[in-house]
Amino acid sequence: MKRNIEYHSEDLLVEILSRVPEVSFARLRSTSKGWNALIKKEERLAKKSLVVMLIHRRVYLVRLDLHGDNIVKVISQLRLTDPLSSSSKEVDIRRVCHCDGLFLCTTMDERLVVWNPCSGETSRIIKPFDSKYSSDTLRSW
Amino acid sequence: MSKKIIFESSEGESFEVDEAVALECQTIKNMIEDDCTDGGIPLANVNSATLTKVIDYCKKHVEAAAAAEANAGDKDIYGANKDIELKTWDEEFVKVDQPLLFDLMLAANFLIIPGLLDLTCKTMMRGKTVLQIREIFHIKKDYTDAEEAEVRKENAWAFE
Repeated sequence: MKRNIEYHSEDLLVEILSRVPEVSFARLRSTSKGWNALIKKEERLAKKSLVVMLIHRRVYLVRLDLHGDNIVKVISQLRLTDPLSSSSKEVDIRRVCHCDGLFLCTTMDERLVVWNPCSGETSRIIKPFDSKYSSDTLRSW
Repeated sequence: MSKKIIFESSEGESFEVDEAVALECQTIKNMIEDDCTDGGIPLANVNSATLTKVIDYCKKHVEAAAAAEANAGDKDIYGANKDIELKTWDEEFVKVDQPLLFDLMLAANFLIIPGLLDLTCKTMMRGKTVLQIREIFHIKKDYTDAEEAEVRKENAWAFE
């Protein structure tokens, strides 16, 4: 059996490459011109990265697909309403950070909200924290 | 008695396996469904050493699936008990030399054994440098030194 990959189909190479993490693609591009071209053009190797964006005080979860026609696709959007007020007034989000698949948002009125984008659940961390520290605490995350 | 399927390696050696084991290979499953397995299945591009390993893998995974079904009530809180044992077995299974690993991957691709293809592909690439990858896949460096330096520079963040 010939072990030279060039004797085998490109499909097999795609099978192999589709199982390496994204960061490895960058390294593997220096393997050969052929691999470089394949990694750049092959749609099946497009890892669809997730990005968290904060636009106009709202949090969006966005999927990036550099190979597709529609590069940016919004998957999920977080809108917070104020439970203390009877109106469904939206609360503005100041900052967002993430850890272990959860988002931690601070609101414009300096409260903390945890958001699980998979389930769509949100929960407030009730204890109000000292506004002096709030922005710095998040920034250091 | 369960039905037997006979594989024939590239060296012409015969291997008799239970049908359930052969069914792990999608390619063979299709052949069995089409009823064209009488008189054995010649595998001209799989040698005896590789075929022995492939059969071991399929047997183990059939047994593990049967055991998991029998102990369905015994699952731990993560829904797994046999999984860890099987994973450890898989890890040991692919501790083979590079040429055999390559042959196993080709066989898994040809016979369509998704689990084995996944396992061998990942093992093949894990922890390898670009130089090692070139060696494994017999790739001739077609970049000039300057071109390679340029591509590496573009992707310098990945080498940090």
